[in-house]
Amino acid sequence: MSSQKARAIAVAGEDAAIYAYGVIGAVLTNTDRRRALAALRAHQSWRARLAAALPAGTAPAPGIAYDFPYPVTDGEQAVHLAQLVENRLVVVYADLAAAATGDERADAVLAASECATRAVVWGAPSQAFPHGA
Amino acid sequence: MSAKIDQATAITRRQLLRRCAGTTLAVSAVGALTACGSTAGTPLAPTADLPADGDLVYLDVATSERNLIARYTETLAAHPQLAPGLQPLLQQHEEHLAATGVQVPDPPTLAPPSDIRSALGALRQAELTAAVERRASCQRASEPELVRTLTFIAASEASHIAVLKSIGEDR
Repeated sequence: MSSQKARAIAVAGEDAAIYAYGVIGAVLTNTDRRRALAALRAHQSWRARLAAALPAGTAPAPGIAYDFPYPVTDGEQAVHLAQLVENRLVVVYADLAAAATGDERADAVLAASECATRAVVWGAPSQAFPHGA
Repeated sequence: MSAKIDQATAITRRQLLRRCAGTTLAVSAVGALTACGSTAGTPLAPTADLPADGDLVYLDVATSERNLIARYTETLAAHPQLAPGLQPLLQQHEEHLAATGVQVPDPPTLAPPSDIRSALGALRQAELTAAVERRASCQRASEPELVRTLTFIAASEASHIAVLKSIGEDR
């Protein structure tokens, strides 16, 4: 996969995560809502960084809405969705790291590490090779 | 070109969350991504006289994982009550070591701190060191599949720091 394609896929993945955290944050309260908003800001920041590295006009546009694997109407579902989103993004960033070089690769490894860490902070069990399940 | 990218990412975007639905779907998604990754890039051709850089990176990772396994094993022997929290992490380091396919000798034994909180702090420090080393390994590796594997290991070890922190907070 070319680094540009991997970067575009990562932008799309971050768009999905940003949308998901909008819903997650709306469902959660108190500390969990603050944690969701902090995660939302982190994903917005990575999205902007990735998009800036793409040629002008080629960043994929965010979707209007995204399908969730199940309805997210209570805190337990919201927390589970956050775990899934974060662990899925580890895979996306591992692909970007493999396709990229230099600073972009270092950034992708860092982003993957942040996502895996947030998944665990949301209560997901740690994994030897983190992925979506 | 951009139309192709838009099409590809539209599918990925729609499928990203859907693929989170269950283990089978998620694993197949990871499998599909692996297949994409394996076609990318050019593997480094090893020279006749020197080991390929990938081999040296694998050796470094194996040495680091063997060291972490020793630290966890010693800590568990000294503080068996930590087993429920630490055993999964130890198991994951064994999986990292197995992924390298490299045999390395055990490191010298090191007595863990007798105080539980200090022992957990020592493991956190060891994980942090390992995570930083894996990020550096990624820069030295050329072959995309190796970089991908190292990224997963770096992410796993970074997440272990959060697990150890939560175990410490429970005490």
